[in-house]
Amino acid sequence: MQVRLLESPINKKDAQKRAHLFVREKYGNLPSVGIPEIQDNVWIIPINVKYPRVFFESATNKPKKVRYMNFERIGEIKIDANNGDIVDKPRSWDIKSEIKGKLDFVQLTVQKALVKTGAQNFSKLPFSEHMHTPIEDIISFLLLKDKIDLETELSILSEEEKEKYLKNIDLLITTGLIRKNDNFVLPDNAFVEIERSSDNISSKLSKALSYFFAQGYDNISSIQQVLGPYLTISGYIYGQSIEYDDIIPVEYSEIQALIQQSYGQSIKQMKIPRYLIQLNEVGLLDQSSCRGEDMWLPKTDILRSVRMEETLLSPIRNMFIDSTARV
Amino acid sequence: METYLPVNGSHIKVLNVPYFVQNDTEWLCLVYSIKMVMDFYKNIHTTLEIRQRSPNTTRDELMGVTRTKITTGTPVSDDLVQSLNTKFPSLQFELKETNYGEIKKELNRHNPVIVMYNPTILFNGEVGPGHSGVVIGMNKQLIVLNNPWYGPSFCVEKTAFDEAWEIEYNRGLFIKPNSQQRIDEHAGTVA
Repeated sequence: MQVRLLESPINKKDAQKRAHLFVREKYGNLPSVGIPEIQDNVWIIPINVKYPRVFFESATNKPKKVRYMNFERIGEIKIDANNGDIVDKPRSWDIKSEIKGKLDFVQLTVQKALVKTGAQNFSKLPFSEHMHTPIEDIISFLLLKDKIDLETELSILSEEEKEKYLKNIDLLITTGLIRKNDNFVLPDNAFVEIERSSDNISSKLSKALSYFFAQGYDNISSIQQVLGPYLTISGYIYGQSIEYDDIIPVEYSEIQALIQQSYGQSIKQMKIPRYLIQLNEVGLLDQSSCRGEDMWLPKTDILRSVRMEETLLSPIRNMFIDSTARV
Repeated sequence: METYLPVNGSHIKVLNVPYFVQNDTEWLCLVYSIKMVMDFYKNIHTTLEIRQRSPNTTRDELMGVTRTKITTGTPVSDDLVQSLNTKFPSLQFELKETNYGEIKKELNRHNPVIVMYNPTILFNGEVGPGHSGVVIGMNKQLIVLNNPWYGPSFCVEKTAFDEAWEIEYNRGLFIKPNSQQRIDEHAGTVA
């Protein structure tokens, strides 16, 4: 049953208050309401989120800087202008997923820019440590066997595996690394150029992967399959510095929490030090120390280049509110 | 139980309310604010009877009672107050629109008050998330908060705070020690 709190008809101020109290009661203190607009005797009140990020100074554990990510109109509340009844509203679940979706979008955008900028560095990660992925299988196969006969090679795979390989072949075609001729997969121009170099075979694979990262960054989910936790960790560390517009060192415990949240597998926890050392080795992360604690931070030159990826980052740039909020 | 905080050459009398900091991605400002006030009654208040009657609580217990979610914070309504009053009968919780005068009166009675305000207004001049903090002292110009984000004894000009508070409709959560009679009544009702 809906309780009428206000006398009818209700004005703009009343509508905003009604919506505000409803938001606080049902969705918590994170969302806020915008300016009501009237349409066909119904007040429409947008729900906005300014998602705060507080950067604590490690030495003192006191907040150093507050920044806000701006997520506008993640939902609307509609109020009958005659009697104050709420006639339409998002579910609490919708609000939560909208917020999560926006946060994921920020993280993915940063990952894309990082993969594009740091393609060469990522490709230097030890070959055996890459996650299992058809991308490497396909490139390696072509490096050694020159062509893939789809009918023969894929016939022994399960339908699911076959589908996976075909999808990845299509993805590699879009980057110009390979091409298809009837039932054969063949090297395309970029691949031929890489093959022509005098490098050894594993360097050629790295170069091909680097090319794939630099050209295929937009297809970030496929690259996530290849780079797995390496991208999760480095993307998070670069993301922090981009969100706060500063160089932000990240504590080991924060990375542990990230891996637990992303993978939920305890085995991955054991591997974190190795991931960090390897990311440091290929020039993607720096290490520092604060009060005896290891901290991890982005490489300044790569961070600078990531920040310059204007086209890629522009969809999220307007989400960050200028960091004037220093405390 | 009280101390004098030096600010701009003068001193403001503040209550020695314990402080808890909230992390970057935990929307637990109200939970931590309630915990600060409850810990004040439990451990700092000079009246033995109040200390003895006050419940010991944890962050997690408060999250459960207030139906707080780490990702979206605490739903603020009459249900919240009812739930707190039922769980902690030795304290009396009241949520209402209030003003500096009422808060000052409570501070004089050694009762810290939680205020709900919109901090983005203070820093960016825009409406943002709702936030809570514990008022531990004030004078004519300043209000002093134990703020789970911005630190203990956080001083704000009242003229600046007005707008940030007004956006959240000047709401305050009053938490006071209950009289023994009310506790007995409650125990009778529950039994």
